[in-house]
Amino acid sequence: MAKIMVVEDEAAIADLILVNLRLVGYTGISVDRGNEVMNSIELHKPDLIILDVMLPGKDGFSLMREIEPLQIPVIFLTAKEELNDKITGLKLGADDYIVKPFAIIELLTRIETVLKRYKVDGNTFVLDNLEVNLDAHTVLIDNQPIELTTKEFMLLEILIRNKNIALSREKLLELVWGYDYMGETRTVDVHIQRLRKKLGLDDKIKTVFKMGYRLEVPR
Amino acid sequence: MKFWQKAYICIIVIFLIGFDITVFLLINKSYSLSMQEKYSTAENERHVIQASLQSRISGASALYREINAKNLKMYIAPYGDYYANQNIYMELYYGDDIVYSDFPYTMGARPELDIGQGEKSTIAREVDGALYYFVTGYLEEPYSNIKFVYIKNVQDLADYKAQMIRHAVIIGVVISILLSILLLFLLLRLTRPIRKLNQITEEIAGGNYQKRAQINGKDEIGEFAGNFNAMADSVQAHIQKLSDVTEERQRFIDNLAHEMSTPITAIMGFGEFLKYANYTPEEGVKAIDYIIHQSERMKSMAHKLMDLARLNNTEIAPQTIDLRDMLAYVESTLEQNIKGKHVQVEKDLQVFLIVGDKDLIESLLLNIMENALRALPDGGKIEVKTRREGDGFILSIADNGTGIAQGDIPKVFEPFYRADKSRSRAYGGAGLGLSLCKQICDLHYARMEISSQPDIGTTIAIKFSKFTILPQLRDDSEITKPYDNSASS
Repeated sequence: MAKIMVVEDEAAIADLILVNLRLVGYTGISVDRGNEVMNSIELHKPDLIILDVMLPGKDGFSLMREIEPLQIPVIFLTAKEELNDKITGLKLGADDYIVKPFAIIELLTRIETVLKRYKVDGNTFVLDNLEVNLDAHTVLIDNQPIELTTKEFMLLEILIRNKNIALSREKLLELVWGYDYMGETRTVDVHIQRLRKKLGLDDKIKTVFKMGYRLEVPR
Repeated sequence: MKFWQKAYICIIVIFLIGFDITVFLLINKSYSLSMQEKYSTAENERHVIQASLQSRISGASALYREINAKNLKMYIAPYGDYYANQNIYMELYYGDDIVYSDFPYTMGARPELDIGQGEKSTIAREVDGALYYFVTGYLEEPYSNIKFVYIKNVQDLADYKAQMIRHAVIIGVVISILLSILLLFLLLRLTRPIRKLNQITEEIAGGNYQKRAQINGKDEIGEFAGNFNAMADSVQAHIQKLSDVTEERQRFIDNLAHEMSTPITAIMGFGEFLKYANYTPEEGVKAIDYIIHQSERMKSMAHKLMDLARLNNTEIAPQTIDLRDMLAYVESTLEQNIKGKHVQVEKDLQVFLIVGDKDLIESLLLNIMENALRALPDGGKIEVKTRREGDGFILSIADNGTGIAQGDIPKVFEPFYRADKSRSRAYGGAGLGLSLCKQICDLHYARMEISSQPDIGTTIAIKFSKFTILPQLRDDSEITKPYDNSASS
């Protein structure tokens, strides 16, 4: 999985991002001072950088100018009142920005999108005898192909991408079927049942009481 | 219609009326004077002719003893011939019969002849397009039945009057034209400052508050411009003040929002993490610790904000304070930090009994000490001193910590300012302490000064007035009211 550098001077925010990154399997490195960033990049060679704008030592925009030639994707982290700066940030070559306070799922989704664009991850997910190729949309158990419907595969992909995080039925409905889907959350339950049965994931796709479903993977 | 146009029309109209009336009166007067003179000349002439004629008739009548129409005509004819080329004509009546007339034009009614015995008439009237002056009268006794009529052509006077009027009209027109040109020039020049002022008013109304009228002069417009500028100054000052206040408030809100965003993000994020994540027990403890710590941070920020808001409209409750006790209390509050960093606190209090609001002074000391502690490295030193100066005293708190860059010193009293962002955040500061201290000093009519050098340290000196010293210890102890208005200056 990808290696992600978090540049943030607030320890609380940096740790928050790091624990969540580790949860879904990324490797996280954190840097808290602007003037240490370039050295750290050279040392760790991250696949993606999450960059705060207000930093001691050197601010995010000046850093962006230095990072840009290295072709490493950057997501800016800004406070709301700096939102006007987002134009500046994107013009400088950042791939996306996210405004504090943010929901963690939102941050993970953006990271995933940017990484997909850069084709950083080798998009295969392996769990015991199950192997899922997220690019080719193939699912193998003991090297035997398993047929999944489109919706079933999308559901599986979202669970894999957000592994170890519980997703509510509403969230899953929104992500797989779209905002305008008029169906009930029971649809989600039905598809989860089928996935569990077809892939033998009864004990991996957990029902989290009052919250939804979570794909639990050893860390 | 513009003011100068109104003035122009008014002046021109008044001038023309005045000019015309004057000229009319002058011409009339001149005409009547000339007429009188002419008539009295004519009267004299007639008198001479009539007297001469009378003596001639009486001389002749002594010879002939008889008077008839024929010899009367003979007597008068030489006069008639003589005066005819002077435009003077005459007639002679014997009783009601005409004896002689050399007047060349036919006349209609003859009102001048209608006189009683011994009477005389003078009439000027027009005959055949010309003005004539008629004087009619009887000869003296014994020829009182002979009537003599003297006729003089006075048309030249009427011609003269007409000519005068023509002249007056021409002069009037020429002068009016000259006057209007001059007047136009003068009025435009006189009203130029008004137009200029008007233009400046428009510019100011359009938002260019720096604009001022450049009009000198001691007349009303000059005065007006001066007053106008004074008004613009005060309006600009007010607007500046308002916009400063608004800007400060906006900055405060922006800063507040920025300060809140970190704890809110952390609390929300770790809350979400605890709710949805498949976390390890260690991660769970860490998340809960962060939530508690960040909530405390928000609580302290909220308290300081409330303090600030409260101080904005509060009156202090003065009481006697022993600084030695208070410092000991503050030190005990900060004991953990002081011991943890091995900080040495030195005290040298020449003045220690003061008058002030106990809670506020305590908060003041606590905040300054906290700031000093944050700036200090391990094993640093804080010096707290008081000494008399003038009739008041100075409280100074000095540390040998990181210090503040010269350019940042004016900003330190602004809410949410922090000398070193990341460092003091890590120690939980909200950046509100010094603005709080400043308010407390203001309430005690004290002045807070800050001097600092990077890597050498920071000294905060607070100059209290004499009213903060306990009255018994003051030189002028008869003043017992510690906080009257005179202390504020």
